[in-house]
Amino acid sequence: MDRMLENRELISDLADGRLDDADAAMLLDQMSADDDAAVSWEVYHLSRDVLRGEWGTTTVAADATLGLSSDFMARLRTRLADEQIEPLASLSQALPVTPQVLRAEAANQPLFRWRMVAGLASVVAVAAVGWGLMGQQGPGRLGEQMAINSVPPSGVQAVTVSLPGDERAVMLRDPRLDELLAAHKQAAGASALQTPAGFLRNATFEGASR
Amino acid sequence: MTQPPTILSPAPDDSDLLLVQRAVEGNQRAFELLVLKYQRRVARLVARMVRDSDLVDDVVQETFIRAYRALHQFRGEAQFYTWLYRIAVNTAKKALVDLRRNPVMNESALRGRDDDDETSPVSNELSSDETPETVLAAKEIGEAVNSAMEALPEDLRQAVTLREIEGLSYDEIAEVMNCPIGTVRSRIFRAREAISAKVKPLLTNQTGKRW
Repeated sequence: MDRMLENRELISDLADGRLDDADAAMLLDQMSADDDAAVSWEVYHLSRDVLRGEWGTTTVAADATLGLSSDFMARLRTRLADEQIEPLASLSQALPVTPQVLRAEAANQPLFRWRMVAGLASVVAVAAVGWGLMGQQGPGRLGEQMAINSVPPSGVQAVTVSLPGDERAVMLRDPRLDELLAAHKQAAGASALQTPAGFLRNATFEGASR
Repeated sequence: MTQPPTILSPAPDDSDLLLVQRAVEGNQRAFELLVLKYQRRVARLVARMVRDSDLVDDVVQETFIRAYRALHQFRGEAQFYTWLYRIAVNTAKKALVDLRRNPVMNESALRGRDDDDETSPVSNELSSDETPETVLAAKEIGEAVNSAMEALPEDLRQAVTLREIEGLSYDEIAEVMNCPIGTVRSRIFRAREAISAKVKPLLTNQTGKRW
């Protein structure tokens, strides 16, 4: 039996998973110089597709592979040759925990990154909720602190003032603020913008007129 | 010849894992065999998602390159094609996104539907990569296989039918046909050789040198 025929028979075995590792390795080495075996491999699988009804049943399915460029395999081989795949054996010997394997980008790496982002967001959300709950449970709760801080300092007086339309309102008067405004009377009536700004309220002190 | 079943059981004794292991060990030829085995299915899948033939070609190339880079991550917990399928779909989707971002993109390259299911119904219209010649070539290949099957001696036809269509193992075929496993092996190989003799010229004529 010639070598090509023998290789095709081995290819047939390989297509059915009937080759052990040693025979498969030997066949693959021999195939480097045997295009016929590779073509047979392709035809065997193509025939399998036809017999299983996976070929020619639809227009797209029928000729998808025929639509590939004739140099598809040659171009792919060139690109594969440029790829540096880490041999499994050397990895296992040099790096027992295979850190380089972990560093390699997975084919679905973008999806994994989004999962990482989602996981991180969940942790942040839990931390924020936990922080809020801790603040409510402690003796110095946030609401109480705000209430305490909002108590007017000593010396502040509540004065009732009249508003147009017979309305009355309570205005808090701070003597220290009054002193400050009296010392800087020249700045009264003008905003820092130097232009009329209806949305701003000027703090003025008219002294005796009040 | 009887009509092939539409629902198929997976073939036992698959060699994919062995080829993956060999490829990871540095044997590029092993990976090329996987490419030859699955390029049709991947191309079929990608052709359903993109219309432009050049883009199909590029996406299929990129799919196998990405698979090659990530090959050491394949643990054999799923079928190799299942793993490859996900890579192909993601690669095709990325290519479509890139196309949409490209102002000079060819709109006809976009199929305009989010169809990444290989089993989905297919339009009867020819896509741009489906010329009448390629459709005819595909039809001729299918007819060549079926006519070669018809011409096989009964024992060879039965052996290859049990293997390729029914997905039985060699042991099961030997039991069904009441013959030694060596005989089963020989019959299947001779049947494949007979079919291959009819198909190889068509494949080479239509697509040029493929290897």
